[in-house]
Amino acid sequence: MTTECSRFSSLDGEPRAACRRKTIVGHHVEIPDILTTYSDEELLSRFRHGQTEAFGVLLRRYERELYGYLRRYLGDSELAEDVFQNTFLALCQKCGQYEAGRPVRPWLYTIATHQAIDALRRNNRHQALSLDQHQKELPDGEVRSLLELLETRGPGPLDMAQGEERRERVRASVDRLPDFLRQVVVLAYYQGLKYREIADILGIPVGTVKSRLHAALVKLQEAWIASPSLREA
Amino acid sequence: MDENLVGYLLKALDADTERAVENYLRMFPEAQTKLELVRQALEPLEADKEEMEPPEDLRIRTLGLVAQSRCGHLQRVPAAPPFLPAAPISWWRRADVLVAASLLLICLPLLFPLLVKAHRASKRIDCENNLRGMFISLMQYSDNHEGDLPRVEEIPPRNFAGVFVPILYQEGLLNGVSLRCPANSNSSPQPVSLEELGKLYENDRQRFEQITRELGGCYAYTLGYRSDGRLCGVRRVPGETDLLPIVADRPPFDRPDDPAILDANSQNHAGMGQNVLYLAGNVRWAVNRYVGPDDKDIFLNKNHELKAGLNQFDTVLAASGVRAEQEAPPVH
Repeated sequence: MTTECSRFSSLDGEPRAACRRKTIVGHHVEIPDILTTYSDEELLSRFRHGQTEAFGVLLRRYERELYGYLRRYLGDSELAEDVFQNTFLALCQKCGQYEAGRPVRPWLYTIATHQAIDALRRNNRHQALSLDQHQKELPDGEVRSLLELLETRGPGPLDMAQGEERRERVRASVDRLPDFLRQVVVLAYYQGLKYREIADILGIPVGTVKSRLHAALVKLQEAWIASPSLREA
Repeated sequence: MDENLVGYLLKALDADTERAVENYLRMFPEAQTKLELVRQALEPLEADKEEMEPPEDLRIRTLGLVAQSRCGHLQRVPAAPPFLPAAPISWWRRADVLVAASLLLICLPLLFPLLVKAHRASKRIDCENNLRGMFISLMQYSDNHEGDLPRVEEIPPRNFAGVFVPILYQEGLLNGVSLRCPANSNSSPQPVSLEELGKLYENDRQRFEQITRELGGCYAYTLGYRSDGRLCGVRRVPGETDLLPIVADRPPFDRPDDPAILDANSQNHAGMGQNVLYLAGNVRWAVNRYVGPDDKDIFLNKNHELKAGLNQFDTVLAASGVRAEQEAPPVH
């Protein structure tokens, strides 16, 4: 590997005292902690201007968060790893298009989501939106149906499940959601993004985000009430 | 406002909408019930909210992939040409040959005169050495004959300038002496004894004439001088005769009617001059013929004739076939 590669592969984002020493692929490198205090936007800007260490800090910062998002959205750990790598590869390649001051986090999620959709498409797992599904995205109707459903529902098998079984059942039900609903649930609930950010990432109006989230919750409620317990299955 | 209850619980609303929902909840108590229902609807998701740990080496692999992608943009070193052991190694490329040829073309005109000059100087030095060898032989002869040098006589067969060769040969003094000037391509003559010369004169006059022209080789010898009508040879008197020239490169003429008689140098050295041996033993390179005593022409006597000198110091160095008293050209 060339010097640049060695330098690049030695990047890291883990903060410590004044300066930390880290062993990566046999190299001892020192990265100034000052980088870890910079914002995402500052790090990306520095990387664009040749400070390759900034890329490592950014990668370290989003490692868990982005992998968790992809893992939940794709439902496959190996696929999530591939998409995670491709996401940062695309970030490196597209950093020239980055507009100074634009928030990096939604942009990174946008890239990751597009990479994930491409991966699902390559694996024939992507479910295209149908006209019926669009028609169901009527906010008021979905809300009414969610509240009505919540008011009328009784205890289901999920309420009886505990611990690992409960966790697996929840994950299975989320995984069975259509892609366009699952990604909203993951982004809003598990990743904690605001509606506005989700709308920007997915390129849809905020109202559509709300309706998809409600629709997803309705489907989850139905699934949790109707499906048999794991033991029964 | 009910559509924002989920967003409110997830803290996904913008600040304005969030405040509006809070007001809605305060103003409508039944909204609290709805909010609780939504909270219960979301509650099961909490069971799977545990953070998912990425593989330990994911970051390293990602950095490696990115680095490989960036390095891939660097220009690759071209592959080395295959090694062909059977092919002969050419130390000279075409460009080298062209450069060398150009340099030669430029330098050759500059070097050529220098080379020619050095070559001529070398030949001249070899010629000087011939004359020194001849001087040693003549001095030995002189020592044996009370200071006299071989001399040209009035009557044949010793009546020509080249007679010194058979005289020295007769006394065994010609060993190691070359009569061929290195600067001249003529071959060295085959020496003959005085007896053979006399017989030749008696029996084959034509052959005798030819031999007399060839015996002296590339060199001219002194014809001697006339004193009281008598032809005398050169006698070595140390301190008196040191400046007398006795041998030199052969002049380009052996007849008085030759146009070259006027001013031409010997042709042994391309007409550029001639080596002259003096009786003191020194050899001098002379670019003209006027290097005798008092700057006299060494190839003619004081009367500018191709004859013997008019006095002791009027030395005339003549080609082998020249007589002391030139006769009319023979009719062939």
